[in-house]
Amino acid sequence: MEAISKEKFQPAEKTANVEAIVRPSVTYWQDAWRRLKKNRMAMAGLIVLIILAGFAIFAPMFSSHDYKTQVLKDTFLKPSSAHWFGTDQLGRDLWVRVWWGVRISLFIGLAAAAIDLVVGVLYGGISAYFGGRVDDIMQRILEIIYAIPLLLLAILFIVFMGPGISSIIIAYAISGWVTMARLVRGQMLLLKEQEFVLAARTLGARPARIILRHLVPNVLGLIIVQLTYVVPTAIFFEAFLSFVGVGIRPPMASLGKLISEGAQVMRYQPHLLLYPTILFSLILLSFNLLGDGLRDALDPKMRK
Amino acid sequence: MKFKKFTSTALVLTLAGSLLAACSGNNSGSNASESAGNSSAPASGSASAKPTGPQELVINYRTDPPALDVSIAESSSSFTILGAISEGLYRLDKDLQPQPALAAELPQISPDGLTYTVKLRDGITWADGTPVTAQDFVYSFRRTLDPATKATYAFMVAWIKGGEAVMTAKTPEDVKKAQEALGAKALDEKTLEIKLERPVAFFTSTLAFLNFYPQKQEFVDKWGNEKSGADADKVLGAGPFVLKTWDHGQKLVLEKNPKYWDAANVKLDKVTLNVVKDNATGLNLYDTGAADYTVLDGTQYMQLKDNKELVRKKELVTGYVNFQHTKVPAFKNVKIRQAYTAAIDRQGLVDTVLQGNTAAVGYTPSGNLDGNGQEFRKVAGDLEQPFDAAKAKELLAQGLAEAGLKEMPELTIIGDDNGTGPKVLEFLAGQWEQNLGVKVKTSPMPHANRLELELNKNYEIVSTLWGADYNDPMTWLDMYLTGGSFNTQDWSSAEYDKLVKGAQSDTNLENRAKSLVEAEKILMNEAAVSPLYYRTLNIMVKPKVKGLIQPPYGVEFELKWTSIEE
Amino acid sequence: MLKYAVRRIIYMIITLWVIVTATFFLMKLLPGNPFANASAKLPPEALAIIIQQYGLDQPEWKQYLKYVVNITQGDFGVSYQYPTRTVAEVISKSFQASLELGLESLFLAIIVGLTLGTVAALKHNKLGDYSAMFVALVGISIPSFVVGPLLSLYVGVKAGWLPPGLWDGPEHRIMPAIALSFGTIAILARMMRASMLEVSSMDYIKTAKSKGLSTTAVVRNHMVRNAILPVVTILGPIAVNVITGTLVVERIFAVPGLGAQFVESIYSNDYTMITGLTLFYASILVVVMFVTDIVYGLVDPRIRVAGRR
Repeated sequence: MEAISKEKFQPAEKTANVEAIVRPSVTYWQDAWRRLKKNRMAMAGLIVLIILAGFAIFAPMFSSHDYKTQVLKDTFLKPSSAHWFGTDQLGRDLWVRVWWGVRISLFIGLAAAAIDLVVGVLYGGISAYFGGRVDDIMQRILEIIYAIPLLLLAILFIVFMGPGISSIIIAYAISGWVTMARLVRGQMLLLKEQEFVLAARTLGARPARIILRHLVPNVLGLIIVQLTYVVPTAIFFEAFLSFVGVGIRPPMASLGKLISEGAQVMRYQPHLLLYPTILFSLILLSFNLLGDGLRDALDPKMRK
Repeated sequence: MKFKKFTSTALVLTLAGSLLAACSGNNSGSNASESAGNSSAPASGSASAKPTGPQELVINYRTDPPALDVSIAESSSSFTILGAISEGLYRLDKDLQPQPALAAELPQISPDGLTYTVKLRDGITWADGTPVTAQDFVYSFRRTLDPATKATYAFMVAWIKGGEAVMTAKTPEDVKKAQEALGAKALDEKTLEIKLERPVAFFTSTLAFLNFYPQKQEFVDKWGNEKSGADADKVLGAGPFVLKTWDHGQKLVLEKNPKYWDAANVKLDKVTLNVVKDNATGLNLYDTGAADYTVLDGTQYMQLKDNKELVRKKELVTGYVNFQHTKVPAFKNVKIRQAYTAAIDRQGLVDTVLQGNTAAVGYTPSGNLDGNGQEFRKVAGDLEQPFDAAKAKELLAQGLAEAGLKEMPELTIIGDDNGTGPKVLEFLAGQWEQNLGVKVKTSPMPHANRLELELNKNYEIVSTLWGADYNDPMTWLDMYLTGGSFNTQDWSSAEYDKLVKGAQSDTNLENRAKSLVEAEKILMNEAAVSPLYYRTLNIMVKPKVKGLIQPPYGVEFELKWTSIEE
Repeated sequence: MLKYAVRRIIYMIITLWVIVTATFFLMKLLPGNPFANASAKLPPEALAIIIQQYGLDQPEWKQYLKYVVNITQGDFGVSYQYPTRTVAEVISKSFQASLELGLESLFLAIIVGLTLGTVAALKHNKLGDYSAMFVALVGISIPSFVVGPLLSLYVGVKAGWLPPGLWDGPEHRIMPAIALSFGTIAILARMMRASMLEVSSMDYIKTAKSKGLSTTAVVRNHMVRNAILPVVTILGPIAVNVITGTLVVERIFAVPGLGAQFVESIYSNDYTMITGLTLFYASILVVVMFVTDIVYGLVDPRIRVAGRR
């Protein structure tokens, strides 16, 4: 074999930085947003929710009617140009009442989700991360809270504090987050034994950091799916209280209350059931679509 | 004798209905004596009509009876069933006249109106075949009054001389002693003597009421207070039907009692009562033929008001509003109360929220007799402040000036949170805000809580309702005597007290009726109470059902004379 | 394992005791008493005696002690609403219908829900996904107090296919079970879908695929088995909810179940009934959660090591 002469080799030109990342740097959240934007159904859900929220805020303001004025000669009117959604049993404009209902139901749903997110996730995370005795004690407390029927607490609160949004939210706050805590704990028990957690721990990361930076992002999909379920659950819970008769203070109305009232007159006054139910379903549908989209977008394992 | 002991006890809150029937139609939880009855169809009690087709009736029943024990029962859902499986000395016919039932004839009444002597019918037996004796009645009254029985509905039996002594006896020995001194005696097997504490003009009709049914001691002792009336096999009656099945919360099945003394005139072979709480489902079942009888709510009534199968049963029940004078001193002013009353469009209320009911024009409901053979409302006329928003505003301004106030504070109205309860609150708050310019917050709450706040006078405005215990204006008017336990608003009028108390001891029925009309005039002029509506039960009954009597109080329906004719 | 189970059972008893105590005293805070209806009709002396007969004149701690002692002997007291029936009788009677209805609807929901979820995940972002989830979403988007009356009216009356209510034969079971399963189907389908997607990106699935396992085997042996895990955690509580009765569906279809008992006992201040029902509900829940944990361990061997050190 012919010897290769040294002259044939030349030092390569030293480029400034070989290791430089050519692709623009994207944070986790930018990446998630980028992927969410690609998901048409999720974006549709998001847009519908924004529109609904917009209507809930502005529609009552720009109507010549209000939610409580009773016009007894105009009861049970069918939808018309004067009353777009018709009127109810007391001659009140359903269009305005429905948007007020959306406002209140969304508020209750979001407040419940916020509580779930903070209390439920932290509780579940702490319980799972520490395990052992801490986990045991925390699980016992959780079981006790979980086993006292929410309805009993809700009715107690409403009897003491009077009917209204705050009573409902407080009643929900006491035990509504328990499912989330259990779910997060279950998933984290799986994750915490995985290598990346071990690695983080070996590197001296503190528990808080491990929970928030390593474990939570990995269960985020699950948390978000659960959250999109919590919003409707809270809205449903409120609707159920309305069905039982102890929800919002009348004449104020939530979507759930409008539906439960509409269901009673369904056979003869279908418009009273139709409009609130459509909006109710739209809200839930949008939350679900958005939730599923977010799940895909936020899942670190699906990052490309 | 204290007022409370006798008079106030004679009123019943129509609790069972608002408590358990969560849809807008409610049970009639009242009871009492003679009045113009409502019968759903031409009564065929005369046995002239020949029933055809299977004699079976299926009813949608809104409440599972809590207990079918004569002493313990306290709601119309129990009274109705017990009225079918047992019987008292008398049974009210379609005109609400007492007809001898277990009694052979109407009672012999002593001239002072205190002693009732009743001969029992020959050959009457319990459903198990053993004879019914006068002693069975005495035992029944004693048991009801015994505190150990824990009967909360014993107050009418306490009208018997010595009754209250039994109720309030502290030890079992005292109870026994008091029971033996009770003014109810079996003179012999077939003769019962009842002595009253004071004359009760309508007592013969009262003897048809559940609390005066007999009970067989041997049978009750077998099950004890704990279990008597708990199941189909723990119920024994002497009435037209026997309880064949009782599937708690689901259904009750009645079958004809062949041992009943008047079995020949009982046409129905079988009655099934399905517990159906939802009015919409009830109507669905009715439409598919799975029920022959169902109660409607307001919207259903509006749609079906021209239907031939609709039966309207006017009950002796008034829905009304009370203003608490001590918590809200402004309500001590007559004009302010009048303003709050005149600001309510009562016709609007019954046109929108309570469709099918009647707007009130006074406290005593239409259909209630005046104790002198006439209808009270017809004699007294319309006494309540008519709806007039302009006048209401004027009255309020005057009242506020008189009371030295600038404006009314924001008040809270409490009421039941089931059925039409919250809607009525909503309606009233809207009326006051729109017609009077005053703010009122609504606070619907569970029935027991509302009642507690009301009776403890711990409210500002309350929306509530009452049913007559007996068909006499006294059942309505004695409750607003000064210090009466139902005078929760702390209203007081010396003149009113004088009229009502005078009527209580008046033996001249014409004078008595006049005094009571005068008393209600004061009540209404002063707007001491603000009546809203008289309740009507709207019912769909299949045309094949004949002779189903629907009395305005006490029981929901009377089955004895019912038949099926197809 | 046995030691663990014994410890859990002791915990369960403590949990139930705390719940009974909390409920007992919470309830006493409710204004009103079971005799509010009678209190104005009876002479006060007579009412006082009745209250004494029920032992309600005793100091609360004495009532509490007596109640706890009675409970340990299986005596839950007498209902105030149904004075001739014990709380235990009322519960056991109404629970029969609720349990039957609940199990039927749960069975339906598990089959439909898990299938929909699995299909949706396997056809991720394709038509199958959208249609499966749409079906599931319909169930979660419409409240049972709309679905129930609609079914009763249209299927029961207008079409006349099934009875619009009552609880006699098998034909009476179908509509309420369907109405009750709607929400559960949606929850299960969504959980299953999310979980399947989670699992499908796991390395062991890739391994299994690259080993050359058939798709069916991968899905059945690896994906579904792992994906079902988070679903199992919520299945327990869901089951408790559906078998302990739902006010709305039971009311609409006239099912003699447990659902309405709770609300009615709160309305009438039926203390013994409220405590009894709470305890009953809590016992079932605690037991189910215990079983869930055990099953959880069986389904996923890793947990047995990790969760119970």
